[in-house]
Amino acid sequence: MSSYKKEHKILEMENKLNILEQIQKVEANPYLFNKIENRINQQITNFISLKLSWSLGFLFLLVFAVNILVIKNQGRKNEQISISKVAKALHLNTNNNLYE
Amino acid sequence: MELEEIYRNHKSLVYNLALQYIQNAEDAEEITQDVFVSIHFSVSKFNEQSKIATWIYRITINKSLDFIKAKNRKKRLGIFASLFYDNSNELKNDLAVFNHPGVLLESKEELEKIFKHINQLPKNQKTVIILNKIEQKTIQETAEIMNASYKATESLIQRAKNNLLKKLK
Repeated sequence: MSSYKKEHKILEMENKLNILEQIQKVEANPYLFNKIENRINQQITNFISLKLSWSLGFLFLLVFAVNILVIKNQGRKNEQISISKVAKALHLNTNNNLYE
Repeated sequence: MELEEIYRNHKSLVYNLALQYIQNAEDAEEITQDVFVSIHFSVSKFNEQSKIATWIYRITINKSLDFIKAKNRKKRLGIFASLFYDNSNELKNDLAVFNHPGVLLESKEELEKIFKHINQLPKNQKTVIILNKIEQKTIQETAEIMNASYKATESLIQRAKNNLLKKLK
């Protein structure tokens, strides 16, 4: 194919693409801004409820952990009290000093 | 800056650009909503060194490409749905029904065919064709929006045009 013919063909094809310039600008739905505002409010509400549920979850875990700790400490204290009671009843020496 | 003011000044830019990507009025509205919600939550982070229109162009391009990706992913979730057209090895990349309100009836058929080929281009080539040929942005403006150099954008436009013309033969 001669260079003239090649160039002519390229120009012809480029002209085909020029139809894209005929696409007109259009206006969006007049109520679109209301929809956007609604969506923003919904996202804020979702964010707040998500934050609230995370906070509640954390609080629940904290209360649960404190309870476990308290119960554990209570058990240890009871054990110590009952051991000293037995030692007293049997007149056992509860300290390691042999000369007292 | 107030969202309402930004919306008033840029709604046409966003809606029309989304339309060029998706060629469907309802989907373009959906993208427009996504863009302005995103602007509302990130306007405080906007770097005033670049123009607000350039920033909005970038958000719209990203949202449109994300929308297309999500739509294609949803389609491919169907286990029995084929990824290819029945009579060829060409990969399916169909968007919704062609419903572009900016296209005149007499050129609808031809433009639908061209858009079908544009939709099969790699995403950066599709973007330069939309910005340079449809939105009629200069190479400098296109480069600015795409955050690329003038030379890189110029060669990308040439590559995109060549690919498109090959498909149109």
